[in-house]
Amino acid sequence: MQSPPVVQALDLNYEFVSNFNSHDNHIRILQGLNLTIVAGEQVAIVGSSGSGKSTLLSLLAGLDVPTSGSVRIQSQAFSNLDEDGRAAMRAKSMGFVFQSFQLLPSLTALENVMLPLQLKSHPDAKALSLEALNKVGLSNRVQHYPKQLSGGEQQRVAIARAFATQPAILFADEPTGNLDNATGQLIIDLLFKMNAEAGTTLVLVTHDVHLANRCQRQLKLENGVLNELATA
Amino acid sequence: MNAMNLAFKLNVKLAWTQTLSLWRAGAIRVLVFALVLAVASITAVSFFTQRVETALNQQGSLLLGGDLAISSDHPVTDQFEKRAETLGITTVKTYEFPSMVVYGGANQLTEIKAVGPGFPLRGDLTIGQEANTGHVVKATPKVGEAWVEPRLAHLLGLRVGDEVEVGARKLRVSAILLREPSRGGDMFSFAPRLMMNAADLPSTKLIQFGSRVKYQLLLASAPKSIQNYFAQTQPELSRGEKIEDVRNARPEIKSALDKAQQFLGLSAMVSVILAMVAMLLSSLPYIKQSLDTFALMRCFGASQHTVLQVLAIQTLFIAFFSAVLGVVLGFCAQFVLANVAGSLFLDVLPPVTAMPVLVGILASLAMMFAVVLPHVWQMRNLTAMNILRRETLTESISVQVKFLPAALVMGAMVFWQAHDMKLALSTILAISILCVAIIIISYGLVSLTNRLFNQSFFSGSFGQRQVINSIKIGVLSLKHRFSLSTVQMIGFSMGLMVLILLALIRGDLIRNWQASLPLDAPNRFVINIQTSASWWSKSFL
Repeated sequence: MQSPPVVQALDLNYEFVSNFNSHDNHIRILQGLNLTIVAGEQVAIVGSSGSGKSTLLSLLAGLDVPTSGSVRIQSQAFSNLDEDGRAAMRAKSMGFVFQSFQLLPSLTALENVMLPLQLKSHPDAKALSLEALNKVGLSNRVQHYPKQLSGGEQQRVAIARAFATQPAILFADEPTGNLDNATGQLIIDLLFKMNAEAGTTLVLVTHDVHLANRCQRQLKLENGVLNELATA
Repeated sequence: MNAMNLAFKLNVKLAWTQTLSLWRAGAIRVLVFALVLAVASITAVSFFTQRVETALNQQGSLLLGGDLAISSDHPVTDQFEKRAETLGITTVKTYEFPSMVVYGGANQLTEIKAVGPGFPLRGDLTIGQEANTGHVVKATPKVGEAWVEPRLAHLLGLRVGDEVEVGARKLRVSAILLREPSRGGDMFSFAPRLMMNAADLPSTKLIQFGSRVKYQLLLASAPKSIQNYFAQTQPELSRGEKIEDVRNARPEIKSALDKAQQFLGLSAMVSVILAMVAMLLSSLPYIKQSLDTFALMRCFGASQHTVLQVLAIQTLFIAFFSAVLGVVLGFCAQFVLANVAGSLFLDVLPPVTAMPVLVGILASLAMMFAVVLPHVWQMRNLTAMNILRRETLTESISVQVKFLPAALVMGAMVFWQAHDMKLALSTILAISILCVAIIIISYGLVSLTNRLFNQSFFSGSFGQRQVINSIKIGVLSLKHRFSLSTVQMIGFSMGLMVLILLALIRGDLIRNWQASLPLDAPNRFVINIQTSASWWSKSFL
């Protein structure tokens, strides 16, 4: 039996206005894009630089709104909610891993992992965060600030933060983009290991063919539309 | 309700954690330091002037024998007394006049003071059985009795228990009057004092048509009632009547204090302007980190309300703790001020009150929110993605709007500290002219430099061209960020200007004061010298 759709994009269009030489230019990034991702799927979105991969991810995660079309998350209308409505949905179901880690420099590793849990008023925020940091092998670095950690360690903190809230969907934007090959490999292994353990739906955007190959589905974004590449 | 409380508690906790983290990371240290400095200077001046003012008011009340005094050369109009009764103000009547006091064969010109029951309304009297020992009382001589100053007792050879003649009435001396604060600093009150009960006055038959009597109605009550009474009564005063309050009881000190307050206030203003400029320039790392935090919070599902509440609480924490530190510093600094300048006004200053603390906290909050508010305004329209992509503040709000609240707070503080509309307006006008001049000069300089370095005639070695290219990039950067660069230039220029101005004014004030006194102005006076003794005084001098 087919799993229910977790993420759906229906006739998604996105364009923005660029002001160049005092002229407004309408640039279309996505053109009538459709996508369905079912629960537990691992989906890689690939494409050239500037093709709109990160934009698509931000629309699916409700960080931005489409020019037209809609996004449904767990069968609920999502993109037409207001900012606070989308934020509530993100808090309930989503986790994020960013290319530039997006750790707060003024917070320790533990405080960074605790932040989304605290926002959900989770009573065991500290215990869960320590457990997540332990899983990513950073139990001895919990009181370190991001600047005291290597790039790989920072991304591990970000992964711990993403999984600590036990999200239904994990959005990862170029998770190895700022790392060397060896560290990137370790991070990929960790990401997939934790994803398998948690049974999370994974949607990732990447340039990295090796990383994309680890996913069950690969979609290429070209000229504003998605094309299925292969199924693992 | 519980959920709301929980959410609020969580937001307070988040704000607290983030404030501590920002402090540890060094993102708010300059900001806090500037705020502490501004609050310290405001509260130091406020503490000091409030202590001197309180002392003056207390002294004024003692000198008047009440909070307010209506003096007249004819009996005080009944309606003034009735009004006081209506407003619940306590009153007492006194009568002062010079007259001869007779004892045995001797007589002496004396300042008679007849007082009604309840005198003095403020302060107390010291009386005794002898001239060198006494006790404090808050009472008046009984009917048929009189209290005399030691000088009168000495001149007439009086002792307690003796009877003196005051007009047609004989009064028994029941005490020596050792101290009467309301005797005042009238330097022409040479005659010694005799105090008697007002009820004995008619029987003396001393007050007749044409007698030179100072009739007084003393009043005491809460400051608000007194203010009301003063406001209602002053316009109704007729010829020969005047109303005195504690503020003009010692006009020479009040005037010096007003000047000192103005100067110290403007000095505090200078530090506030400098501190606010420093705050505006140093707030960028704080705002940037806060925006990053809030973008992530939005990403992780925080509502806009949560984000704004956390920012507001965080701002409150910074303002409050800076205010506490500033107030403590200001409190210490006012001791220095009191030691250096306090003795110029009065011997002993009363303890501080809580008002300057409140002033410090309010000023801190106003300054902090003036800096943060424009960014909050911007944040309202930013999505998490805007911030994460660094599509942040520069385009969404103009520099002028960003600095408008800070400028308004600075303007309000100039008005508050200057205590003078003309002075405040001149200060604001001068600052505005300075801003316009700097904008024009900055624009001119940037355009000129840009044009100069864009000329193609610059040639030379590779190294020279590299230097010129670096300057070109620098000038272009200045041109692109012209608004921010101008604000920075205005900030630094204003800082320098007020420092120079303060240094100039400080010397100028002292020089003006010195110039207002002739070089040979006397600072000691010897009076009542008989012609026969003039040779002695000349040789003494």
